[in-house]
Amino acid sequence: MSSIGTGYDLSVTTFSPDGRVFQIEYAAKAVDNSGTVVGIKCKDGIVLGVEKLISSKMMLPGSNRRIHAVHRHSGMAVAGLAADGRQIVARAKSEAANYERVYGEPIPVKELADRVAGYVHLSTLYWWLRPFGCGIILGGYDRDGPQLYMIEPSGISYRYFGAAVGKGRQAAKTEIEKLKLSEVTCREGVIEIAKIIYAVHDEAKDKAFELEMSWVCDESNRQHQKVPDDLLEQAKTAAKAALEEMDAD
Amino acid sequence: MELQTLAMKDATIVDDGTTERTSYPYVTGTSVIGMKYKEGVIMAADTGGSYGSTLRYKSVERIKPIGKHSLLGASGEISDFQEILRYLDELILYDNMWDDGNSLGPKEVHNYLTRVMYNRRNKFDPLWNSLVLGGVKNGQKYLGMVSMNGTHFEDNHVATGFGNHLARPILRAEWHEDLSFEEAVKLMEKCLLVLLYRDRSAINKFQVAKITEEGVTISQPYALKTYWGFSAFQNPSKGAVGSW
Repeated sequence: MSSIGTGYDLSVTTFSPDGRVFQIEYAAKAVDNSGTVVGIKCKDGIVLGVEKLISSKMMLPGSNRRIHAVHRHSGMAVAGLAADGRQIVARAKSEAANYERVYGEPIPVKELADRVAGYVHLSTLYWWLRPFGCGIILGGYDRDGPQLYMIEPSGISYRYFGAAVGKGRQAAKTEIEKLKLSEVTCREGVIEIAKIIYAVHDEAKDKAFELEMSWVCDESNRQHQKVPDDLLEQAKTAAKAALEEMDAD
Repeated sequence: MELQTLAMKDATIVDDGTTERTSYPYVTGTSVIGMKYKEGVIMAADTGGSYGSTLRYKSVERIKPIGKHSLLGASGEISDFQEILRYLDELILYDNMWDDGNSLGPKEVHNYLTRVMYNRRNKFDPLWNSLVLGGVKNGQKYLGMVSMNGTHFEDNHVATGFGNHLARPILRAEWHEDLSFEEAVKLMEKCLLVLLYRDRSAINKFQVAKITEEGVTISQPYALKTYWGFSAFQNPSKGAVGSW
Protein backbone atom coordinates (compact mmCIF):
# COMPACT_ATOMS: atom_id res chain seq x y z
CA MET A 1 0.00 0.00 0.00
CA SER A 2 1.59 3.24 -1.07
CA SER A 3 -0.22 5.48 1.39
CA ILE A 4 -2.96 5.11 3.95
CA GLY A 5 -5.71 7.61 3.39
CA THR A 6 -6.89 7.73 6.97
CA GLY A 7 -10.13 9.58 7.17
CA TYR A 8 -10.16 10.61 3.51
CA ASP A 9 -10.86 7.16 2.16
CA LEU A 10 -14.26 6.49 3.68
CA SER A 11 -16.34 7.86 0.84
CA VAL A 12 -15.96 8.21 -2.89
CA THR A 13 -17.17 11.80 -2.56
CA THR A 14 -14.20 12.85 -0.43
CA PHE A 15 -10.95 14.23 -1.80
CA SER A 16 -7.76 13.82 0.15
CA PRO A 17 -5.62 16.90 0.82
CA ASP A 18 -3.30 15.89 -2.00
CA GLY A 19 -6.19 15.70 -4.47
CA ARG A 20 -6.75 11.94 -4.61
CA VAL A 21 -9.97 10.02 -4.32
CA PHE A 22 -8.91 6.96 -2.37
CA GLN A 23 -12.01 4.88 -2.95
CA ILE A 24 -11.32 4.91 -6.69
CA GLU A 25 -7.74 3.85 -6.06
CA TYR A 26 -8.96 1.02 -3.86
CA ALA A 27 -11.33 -0.03 -6.63
CA ALA A 28 -8.34 -0.21 -8.96
CA LYS A 29 -6.68 -2.55 -6.43
CA ALA A 30 -9.55 -4.99 -6.93
CA VAL A 31 -8.74 -5.03 -10.63
CA ASP A 32 -5.03 -5.50 -9.97
CA ASN A 33 -5.73 -8.66 -8.02
CA SER A 34 -7.65 -10.35 -10.79
CA GLY A 35 -6.39 -12.64 -13.53
CA THR A 36 -4.62 -10.94 -16.43
CA VAL A 37 -6.69 -9.61 -19.31
CA VAL A 38 -4.93 -8.62 -22.52
CA GLY A 39 -6.05 -6.96 -25.72
CA ILE A 40 -4.19 -6.06 -28.90
CA LYS A 41 -5.06 -4.25 -32.11
CA CYS A 42 -3.64 -6.15 -35.05
CA LYS A 43 -3.48 -5.23 -38.71
CA ASP A 44 -6.89 -6.66 -39.49
CA GLY A 45 -8.71 -6.70 -36.16
CA ILE A 46 -8.66 -7.06 -32.39
CA VAL A 47 -7.73 -10.02 -30.22
CA LEU A 48 -8.77 -10.27 -26.56
CA GLY A 49 -7.40 -12.82 -24.13
CA VAL A 50 -8.18 -13.64 -20.51
CA GLU A 51 -6.28 -15.66 -17.92
CA LYS A 52 -9.28 -17.19 -16.16
CA LEU A 53 -8.09 -18.35 -12.76
CA ILE A 54 -9.90 -21.51 -11.78
CA SER A 55 -10.90 -21.46 -8.15
CA SER A 56 -12.22 -25.01 -8.03
CA LYS A 57 -11.55 -28.23 -9.93
CA MET A 58 -15.29 -28.79 -9.99
CA MET A 59 -15.87 -25.89 -12.37
CA LEU A 60 -16.93 -26.83 -15.86
CA PRO A 61 -14.46 -25.65 -18.51
CA GLY A 62 -16.00 -22.98 -20.66
CA SER A 63 -18.21 -21.63 -17.90
CA ASN A 64 -17.79 -18.25 -16.22
CA ARG A 65 -17.27 -16.38 -19.48
CA ARG A 66 -15.09 -13.34 -18.98
CA ILE A 67 -15.33 -12.07 -22.53
CA HIS A 68 -18.76 -10.87 -23.60
CA ALA A 69 -20.13 -9.77 -26.93
CA VAL A 70 -21.62 -6.31 -26.67
CA HIS A 71 -22.91 -6.13 -30.21
CA ARG A 72 -22.23 -7.97 -33.44
CA HIS A 73 -19.05 -5.99 -34.02
CA SER A 74 -17.62 -5.56 -30.53
CA GLY A 75 -16.78 -7.41 -27.37
CA MET A 76 -15.48 -6.66 -23.93
CA ALA A 77 -13.17 -8.55 -21.61
CA VAL A 78 -13.61 -7.83 -17.91
CA ALA A 79 -11.00 -7.95 -15.13
CA GLY A 80 -11.86 -7.54 -11.48
CA LEU A 81 -15.15 -8.21 -9.71
CA ALA A 82 -17.11 -10.42 -12.08
CA ALA A 83 -20.51 -9.38 -10.76
CA ASP A 84 -19.68 -5.71 -11.30
CA GLY A 85 -18.50 -6.63 -14.76
CA ARG A 86 -21.84 -8.26 -15.57
CA GLN A 87 -23.60 -5.03 -14.77
CA ILE A 88 -21.35 -3.04 -17.06
CA VAL A 89 -21.72 -5.52 -19.90
CA ALA A 90 -25.50 -5.39 -19.57
CA ARG A 91 -25.40 -1.61 -19.74
CA ALA A 92 -23.05 -1.66 -22.75
CA LYS A 93 -25.38 -4.07 -24.59
CA SER A 94 -28.29 -1.82 -23.83
CA GLU A 95 -26.44 1.29 -25.05
CA ALA A 96 -25.42 -0.46 -28.26
CA ALA A 97 -28.94 -1.69 -28.97
CA ASN A 98 -30.40 1.72 -28.19
CA TYR A 99 -27.95 3.50 -30.51
CA GLU A 100 -28.80 1.17 -33.36
CA ARG A 101 -32.51 1.61 -32.75
CA VAL A 102 -32.21 5.39 -32.94
CA TYR A 103 -29.51 5.89 -35.59
CA GLY A 104 -29.94 2.76 -37.71
CA GLU A 105 -26.26 1.79 -37.69
CA PRO A 106 -24.08 -0.22 -35.28
CA ILE A 107 -22.68 1.93 -32.52
CA PRO A 108 -19.21 3.29 -33.37
CA VAL A 109 -16.67 1.79 -30.96
CA LYS A 110 -15.56 5.23 -29.84
CA GLU A 111 -19.12 6.11 -28.89
CA LEU A 112 -19.57 2.84 -27.04
CA ALA A 113 -16.36 3.39 -25.09
CA ASP A 114 -17.54 6.88 -24.16
CA ARG A 115 -20.85 5.57 -22.91
CA VAL A 116 -19.32 2.77 -20.87
CA ALA A 117 -16.78 5.17 -19.42
CA GLY A 118 -19.56 7.59 -18.53
CA TYR A 119 -21.47 4.83 -16.79
CA VAL A 120 -18.43 3.68 -14.82
CA HIS A 121 -17.67 7.28 -13.89
CA LEU A 122 -21.23 7.77 -12.69
CA SER A 123 -20.69 5.43 -9.81
CA THR A 124 -17.76 7.53 -8.59
CA LEU A 125 -19.91 10.63 -8.11
CA TYR A 126 -22.39 9.56 -5.44
CA TRP A 127 -21.72 8.57 -1.85
CA TRP A 128 -24.49 6.00 -1.93
CA LEU A 129 -22.90 4.14 -4.85
CA ARG A 130 -19.57 2.40 -4.83
CA PRO A 131 -17.22 2.46 -7.81
CA PHE A 132 -17.14 -0.56 -10.11
CA GLY A 133 -14.25 -2.84 -9.29
CA CYS A 134 -13.59 -3.67 -12.94
CA GLY A 135 -11.08 -2.89 -15.60
CA ILE A 136 -12.55 -3.32 -19.04
CA ILE A 137 -10.87 -3.90 -22.35
CA LEU A 138 -13.26 -3.17 -25.18
CA GLY A 139 -12.48 -4.13 -28.74
CA GLY A 140 -14.56 -3.50 -31.81
CA TYR A 141 -14.51 -3.14 -35.59
CA ASP A 142 -16.50 -0.37 -37.20
CA ARG A 143 -16.29 1.90 -40.23
CA ASP A 144 -13.06 3.41 -38.93
CA GLY A 145 -11.40 0.03 -38.64
CA PRO A 146 -10.51 -2.03 -35.58
CA GLN A 147 -10.24 -0.13 -32.29
CA LEU A 148 -9.22 -1.06 -28.75
CA TYR A 149 -10.22 0.87 -25.64
CA MET A 150 -9.52 0.36 -21.97
CA ILE A 151 -11.85 1.69 -19.27
CA GLU A 152 -10.64 1.96 -15.68
CA PRO A 153 -12.72 2.09 -12.46
CA SER A 154 -12.18 5.84 -12.37
CA GLY A 155 -14.09 6.19 -15.62
CA ILE A 156 -11.03 7.04 -17.68
CA SER A 157 -11.07 5.59 -21.15
CA TYR A 158 -8.22 5.68 -23.62
CA ARG A 159 -7.64 4.11 -27.00
CA TYR A 160 -4.75 1.67 -27.22
CA PHE A 161 -2.72 -0.48 -29.58
CA GLY A 162 -2.22 -2.94 -26.79
CA ALA A 163 -3.56 -3.02 -23.25
CA ALA A 164 -3.37 -5.25 -20.21
CA VAL A 165 -4.99 -5.24 -16.77
CA GLY A 166 -4.80 -7.54 -13.78
CA LYS A 167 -2.06 -9.39 -12.01
CA GLY A 168 0.42 -9.83 -14.82
CA ARG A 169 -0.16 -6.53 -16.55
CA GLN A 170 3.39 -5.17 -16.22
CA ALA A 171 4.94 -8.25 -17.74
CA ALA A 172 2.18 -8.49 -20.34
CA LYS A 173 2.64 -4.87 -21.41
CA THR A 174 6.39 -5.42 -21.83
CA GLU A 175 5.70 -8.43 -24.05
CA ILE A 176 3.10 -6.56 -26.11
CA GLU A 177 5.49 -3.69 -26.69
CA LYS A 178 7.91 -6.15 -28.24
CA LEU A 179 5.35 -7.09 -30.93
CA LYS A 180 5.15 -5.16 -34.18
CA LEU A 181 1.38 -4.89 -34.08
CA SER A 182 0.99 -3.05 -37.36
CA GLU A 183 2.37 -6.12 -39.15
CA VAL A 184 0.73 -8.85 -37.14
CA THR A 185 -2.50 -10.42 -38.40
CA CYS A 186 -5.18 -11.58 -36.00
CA ARG A 187 -4.34 -15.21 -36.64
CA GLU A 188 -0.78 -14.55 -35.52
CA GLY A 189 -2.04 -12.27 -32.77
CA VAL A 190 -4.02 -15.11 -31.22
CA ILE A 191 -0.85 -17.19 -30.91
CA GLU A 192 1.06 -14.25 -29.45
CA ILE A 193 -1.61 -13.47 -26.86
CA ALA A 194 -1.73 -17.11 -25.78
CA LYS A 195 2.03 -17.08 -25.36
CA ILE A 196 1.86 -13.89 -23.30
CA ILE A 197 -0.84 -15.17 -20.99
CA TYR A 198 0.91 -18.47 -20.42
CA ALA A 199 4.14 -16.56 -19.76
CA VAL A 200 2.72 -14.11 -17.21
CA HIS A 201 0.75 -16.77 -15.36
CA ASP A 202 2.32 -17.26 -11.97
CA GLU A 203 2.53 -21.03 -11.43
CA ALA A 204 3.60 -20.64 -7.83
CA LYS A 205 0.88 -18.34 -6.57
CA ASP A 206 -2.11 -19.45 -8.66
CA LYS A 207 -2.79 -23.07 -9.42
CA ALA A 208 -4.78 -23.54 -12.57
CA PHE A 209 -6.14 -21.27 -15.23
CA GLU A 210 -8.19 -21.49 -18.39
CA LEU A 211 -7.38 -19.43 -21.44
CA GLU A 212 -10.34 -17.63 -23.00
CA MET A 213 -9.88 -15.71 -26.23
CA SER A 214 -12.01 -13.85 -28.69
CA TRP A 215 -11.48 -11.79 -31.79
CA VAL A 216 -13.10 -9.35 -34.21
CA CYS A 217 -11.35 -9.35 -37.52
CA ASP A 218 -11.74 -9.59 -41.27
CA GLU A 219 -11.52 -13.36 -40.96
CA SER A 220 -14.47 -13.47 -38.60
CA ASN A 221 -16.40 -11.23 -40.97
CA ARG A 222 -15.99 -8.31 -38.58
CA GLN A 223 -18.17 -10.12 -36.07
CA HIS A 224 -17.10 -10.62 -32.49
CA GLN A 225 -16.80 -14.30 -31.69
CA LYS A 226 -14.85 -16.82 -29.64
CA VAL A 227 -11.61 -17.77 -31.34
CA PRO A 228 -12.38 -20.99 -33.28
CA ASP A 229 -11.51 -24.14 -31.35
CA ASP A 230 -8.82 -25.38 -33.73
CA LEU A 231 -6.95 -22.08 -33.66
CA LEU A 232 -7.31 -21.90 -29.88
CA GLU A 233 -5.79 -25.37 -29.51
CA GLN A 234 -2.99 -24.38 -31.88
CA ALA A 235 -2.33 -21.27 -29.80
CA LYS A 236 -2.30 -23.21 -26.53
CA THR A 237 0.17 -25.74 -27.92
CA ALA A 238 2.46 -22.99 -29.22
CA ALA A 239 2.25 -21.17 -25.89
CA LYS A 240 3.09 -24.27 -23.87
CA ALA A 241 6.02 -25.00 -26.20
CA ALA A 242 7.34 -21.43 -25.86
CA LEU A 243 7.05 -21.74 -22.08
CA GLU A 244 9.09 -24.93 -22.03
CA GLU A 245 11.72 -23.27 -24.18
CA MET A 246 11.92 -20.40 -21.70
CA ASP A 247 12.14 -22.79 -18.77
CA ALA A 248 14.88 -24.75 -20.48
CA ASP A 249 17.13 -21.64 -20.54
CA MET B 1 -35.37 -8.50 -19.38
CA GLU B 2 -35.70 -5.39 -21.44
CA LEU B 3 -36.13 -7.21 -24.71
CA GLN B 4 -39.42 -8.95 -23.90
CA THR B 5 -41.06 -5.70 -22.96
CA LEU B 6 -39.73 -3.97 -26.03
CA ALA B 7 -42.57 -4.93 -28.31
CA MET B 8 -45.17 -4.15 -25.69
CA LYS B 9 -43.61 -0.86 -24.58
CA ASP B 10 -43.97 0.79 -27.96
CA ALA B 11 -47.68 0.12 -27.97
CA THR B 12 -48.64 1.77 -24.68
CA ILE B 13 -52.00 3.41 -24.80
CA VAL B 14 -51.87 6.80 -23.18
CA ASP B 15 -55.05 6.83 -21.18
CA ASP B 16 -55.80 10.51 -21.10
CA GLY B 17 -58.18 10.51 -24.03
CA THR B 18 -55.42 10.66 -26.62
CA THR B 19 -55.38 6.92 -27.31
CA GLU B 20 -53.11 5.90 -30.14
CA ARG B 21 -53.90 2.73 -31.99
CA THR B 22 -53.84 1.20 -35.40
CA SER B 23 -57.35 1.27 -36.76
CA TYR B 24 -56.74 0.43 -40.38
CA PRO B 25 -53.78 -0.49 -42.54
CA TYR B 26 -52.32 1.86 -45.16
CA VAL B 27 -49.77 0.07 -47.33
CA THR B 28 -50.54 -3.61 -47.50
CA GLY B 29 -49.11 -6.76 -49.00
CA THR B 30 -51.33 -9.54 -50.22
CA SER B 31 -51.10 -13.32 -49.83
CA VAL B 32 -48.10 -15.35 -48.71
CA ILE B 33 -48.05 -19.11 -49.35
CA GLY B 34 -45.82 -21.59 -47.58
CA MET B 35 -45.40 -25.35 -47.73
CA LYS B 36 -43.07 -28.03 -46.44
CA TYR B 37 -41.13 -30.10 -48.93
CA LYS B 38 -38.50 -32.79 -48.72
CA GLU B 39 -35.49 -30.76 -47.67
CA GLY B 40 -37.23 -27.93 -45.88
CA VAL B 41 -39.79 -25.23 -46.37
CA ILE B 42 -40.68 -23.19 -49.42
CA MET B 43 -42.47 -19.86 -49.27
CA ALA B 44 -43.67 -17.44 -51.95
CA ALA B 45 -45.15 -13.97 -52.12
CA ASP B 46 -45.48 -11.25 -54.68
CA THR B 47 -43.56 -8.03 -54.34
CA GLY B 48 -46.49 -5.65 -54.33
CA GLY B 49 -47.45 -3.03 -51.76
CA SER B 50 -50.97 -1.66 -52.28
CA TYR B 51 -52.10 1.71 -51.04
CA GLY B 52 -55.79 0.97 -50.82
CA SER B 53 -56.79 0.05 -54.36
CA THR B 54 -53.69 1.63 -55.92
CA LEU B 55 -50.78 -0.68 -56.59
CA ARG B 56 -48.32 1.85 -55.23
CA TYR B 57 -45.12 -0.12 -54.58
CA LYS B 58 -43.97 -2.89 -56.83
CA SER B 59 -40.71 -4.01 -55.27
CA VAL B 60 -41.56 -4.76 -51.68
CA GLU B 61 -39.71 -7.76 -50.28
CA ARG B 62 -42.23 -9.53 -48.09
CA ILE B 63 -40.12 -12.56 -47.22
CA LYS B 64 -37.05 -12.14 -45.02
CA PRO B 65 -34.59 -14.54 -43.37
CA ILE B 66 -34.57 -14.54 -39.57
CA GLY B 67 -31.40 -15.79 -37.92
CA LYS B 68 -29.95 -18.97 -39.34
CA HIS B 69 -32.97 -21.19 -39.26
CA SER B 70 -36.09 -19.30 -40.26
CA LEU B 71 -37.94 -17.38 -42.94
CA LEU B 72 -40.67 -14.86 -42.23
CA GLY B 73 -43.27 -13.89 -44.77
CA ALA B 74 -45.89 -11.24 -44.06
CA SER B 75 -49.06 -9.89 -45.54
CA GLY B 76 -50.88 -6.83 -44.28
CA GLU B 77 -49.46 -3.50 -43.19
CA ILE B 78 -45.89 -3.20 -44.47
CA SER B 79 -44.74 -0.73 -41.81
CA ASP B 80 -45.87 -3.13 -39.08
CA PHE B 81 -43.91 -5.87 -40.84
CA GLN B 82 -40.83 -3.63 -40.71
CA GLU B 83 -41.38 -3.11 -36.97
CA ILE B 84 -41.63 -6.85 -36.46
CA LEU B 85 -38.37 -7.30 -38.37
CA ARG B 86 -36.77 -4.79 -36.02
CA TYR B 87 -37.97 -6.68 -32.91
CA LEU B 88 -36.73 -9.94 -34.39
CA ASP B 89 -33.39 -8.38 -35.26
CA GLU B 90 -32.83 -7.46 -31.63
CA LEU B 91 -34.07 -10.87 -30.52
CA ILE B 92 -31.60 -12.64 -32.79
CA LEU B 93 -28.81 -10.26 -31.78
CA TYR B 94 -29.32 -10.99 -28.07
CA ASP B 95 -29.37 -14.67 -28.87
CA ASN B 96 -26.16 -14.47 -30.89
CA MET B 97 -24.34 -12.54 -28.20
CA TRP B 98 -24.40 -15.53 -25.86
CA ASP B 99 -21.96 -17.08 -28.34
CA ASP B 100 -22.73 -20.52 -26.92
CA GLY B 101 -23.36 -22.53 -30.06
CA ASN B 102 -27.13 -22.34 -29.67
CA SER B 103 -29.46 -20.35 -31.87
CA LEU B 104 -33.18 -19.62 -31.97
CA GLY B 105 -35.06 -22.04 -34.19
CA PRO B 106 -38.32 -21.51 -36.10
CA LYS B 107 -40.48 -22.90 -33.27
CA GLU B 108 -39.05 -20.37 -30.84
CA VAL B 109 -39.41 -17.45 -33.24
CA HIS B 110 -42.98 -18.50 -34.01
CA ASN B 111 -43.79 -18.54 -30.33
CA TYR B 112 -42.22 -15.13 -29.80
CA LEU B 113 -44.24 -13.66 -32.66
CA THR B 114 -47.44 -15.18 -31.27
CA ARG B 115 -46.79 -13.54 -27.91
CA VAL B 116 -46.10 -10.16 -29.54
CA MET B 117 -49.19 -10.27 -31.76
CA TYR B 118 -51.50 -11.44 -29.00
CA ASN B 119 -50.33 -8.89 -26.48
CA ARG B 120 -50.71 -6.06 -28.97
CA ARG B 121 -54.22 -7.27 -29.78
CA ASN B 122 -55.11 -7.18 -26.11
CA LYS B 123 -54.15 -3.52 -26.04
CA PHE B 124 -56.45 -2.82 -29.00
CA ASP B 125 -53.38 -1.77 -30.99
CA PRO B 126 -52.62 -4.72 -33.24
CA LEU B 127 -49.76 -5.17 -35.66
CA TRP B 128 -51.85 -5.49 -38.78
CA ASN B 129 -50.16 -8.55 -40.28
CA SER B 130 -50.62 -12.20 -41.04
CA LEU B 131 -47.27 -13.87 -40.64
CA VAL B 132 -45.92 -17.08 -42.08
CA LEU B 133 -42.92 -18.48 -40.24
CA GLY B 134 -41.06 -21.43 -41.75
CA GLY B 135 -37.71 -23.04 -41.07
CA VAL B 136 -35.55 -26.06 -40.46
CA LYS B 137 -33.47 -26.81 -37.41
CA ASN B 138 -31.61 -30.02 -36.69
CA GLY B 139 -33.46 -31.74 -39.49
CA GLN B 140 -36.87 -30.79 -38.11
CA LYS B 141 -39.03 -28.85 -40.56
CA TYR B 142 -41.42 -26.27 -39.13
CA LEU B 143 -44.12 -24.14 -40.72
CA GLY B 144 -46.54 -21.97 -38.82
CA MET B 145 -48.78 -18.97 -39.09
CA VAL B 146 -49.71 -16.11 -36.76
CA SER B 147 -52.57 -13.74 -37.44
CA MET B 148 -53.05 -10.20 -36.22
CA ASN B 149 -55.16 -11.31 -33.30
CA GLY B 150 -52.66 -13.86 -32.10
CA THR B 151 -54.29 -16.97 -33.53
CA HIS B 152 -51.49 -19.34 -34.38
CA PHE B 153 -51.07 -22.85 -35.69
CA GLU B 154 -48.69 -25.15 -37.46
CA ASP B 155 -49.38 -27.09 -40.61
CA ASN B 156 -47.79 -28.68 -43.67
CA HIS B 157 -48.98 -25.82 -45.82
CA VAL B 158 -50.23 -22.36 -44.88
CA ALA B 159 -51.38 -19.24 -46.65
CA THR B 160 -52.52 -15.76 -45.69
CA GLY B 161 -55.35 -13.59 -46.96
CA PHE B 162 -56.73 -14.63 -50.31
CA GLY B 163 -54.30 -17.50 -50.35
CA ASN B 164 -56.44 -19.20 -47.74
CA HIS B 165 -59.38 -19.28 -50.12
CA LEU B 166 -57.67 -19.84 -53.44
CA ALA B 167 -54.38 -21.59 -52.75
CA ARG B 168 -55.10 -23.87 -49.83
CA PRO B 169 -57.80 -25.93 -51.59
CA ILE B 170 -55.20 -26.70 -54.29
CA LEU B 171 -52.65 -27.56 -51.64
CA ARG B 172 -55.09 -29.75 -49.75
CA ALA B 173 -55.66 -31.75 -52.93
CA GLU B 174 -52.12 -31.89 -54.30
CA TRP B 175 -49.66 -31.51 -51.44
CA HIS B 176 -48.01 -34.64 -50.20
CA GLU B 177 -45.11 -35.52 -47.95
CA ASP B 178 -41.59 -35.31 -49.41
CA LEU B 179 -42.17 -33.16 -52.45
CA SER B 180 -38.98 -32.55 -54.38
CA PHE B 181 -37.93 -28.95 -54.78
CA GLU B 182 -38.99 -28.86 -58.43
CA GLU B 183 -42.41 -30.37 -57.60
CA ALA B 184 -42.86 -27.90 -54.78
CA VAL B 185 -42.04 -24.92 -56.99
CA LYS B 186 -44.45 -26.19 -59.63
CA LEU B 187 -47.23 -26.54 -57.07
CA MET B 188 -46.39 -23.14 -55.66
CA GLU B 189 -46.52 -21.51 -59.10
CA LYS B 190 -49.88 -23.14 -59.75
CA CYS B 191 -51.23 -21.47 -56.61
CA LEU B 192 -49.53 -18.15 -57.38
CA LEU B 193 -51.06 -18.15 -60.88
CA VAL B 194 -54.58 -18.58 -59.52
CA LEU B 195 -53.95 -15.74 -57.10
CA LEU B 196 -52.58 -13.59 -59.89
CA TYR B 197 -55.73 -14.12 -61.97
CA ARG B 198 -58.21 -13.72 -59.16
CA ASP B 199 -56.70 -11.44 -56.46
CA ARG B 200 -56.86 -7.83 -57.56
CA SER B 201 -54.00 -6.82 -55.25
CA ALA B 202 -51.63 -9.40 -56.68
CA ILE B 203 -48.96 -8.41 -59.19
CA ASN B 204 -47.00 -10.52 -61.62
CA LYS B 205 -43.70 -10.27 -59.78
CA PHE B 206 -42.95 -13.06 -57.33
CA GLN B 207 -40.22 -14.14 -55.03
CA VAL B 208 -39.89 -17.75 -54.05
CA ALA B 209 -37.80 -18.48 -50.98
CA LYS B 210 -36.56 -21.77 -49.64
CA ILE B 211 -34.97 -22.72 -46.37
CA THR B 212 -33.12 -25.95 -45.72
CA GLU B 213 -30.61 -27.13 -43.15
CA GLU B 214 -27.90 -25.54 -45.32
CA GLY B 215 -29.46 -22.08 -45.33
CA VAL B 216 -31.76 -19.62 -46.97
CA THR B 217 -32.20 -18.80 -50.65
CA ILE B 218 -34.55 -16.07 -51.80
CA SER B 219 -34.99 -15.91 -55.55
CA GLN B 220 -34.80 -12.76 -57.59
CA PRO B 221 -38.26 -11.48 -58.51
CA TYR B 222 -39.70 -13.14 -61.62
CA ALA B 223 -42.96 -13.21 -63.55
CA LEU B 224 -45.30 -16.07 -64.46
CA LYS B 225 -46.74 -16.62 -67.93
CA THR B 226 -50.40 -15.76 -68.07
CA TYR B 227 -52.97 -16.56 -70.71
CA TRP B 228 -55.62 -14.12 -71.75
CA GLY B 229 -56.57 -15.52 -75.17
CA PHE B 230 -60.04 -16.67 -74.20
CA SER B 231 -62.69 -16.19 -76.84
CA ALA B 232 -64.86 -14.24 -74.44
CA PHE B 233 -62.11 -11.66 -74.14
CA GLN B 234 -61.87 -11.10 -77.90
CA ASN B 235 -63.64 -8.04 -79.21
CA PRO B 236 -64.93 -6.98 -75.84
CA SER B 237 -67.28 -4.30 -77.09
CA LYS B 238 -69.00 -6.55 -79.65
CA GLY B 239 -72.27 -7.06 -77.83
CA ALA B 240 -72.24 -3.68 -76.16
CA VAL B 241 -75.19 -1.42 -76.85
CA GLY B 242 -74.11 2.23 -77.36
CA SER B 243 -73.84 4.70 -74.53
CA TRP B 244 -76.86 6.19 -72.86
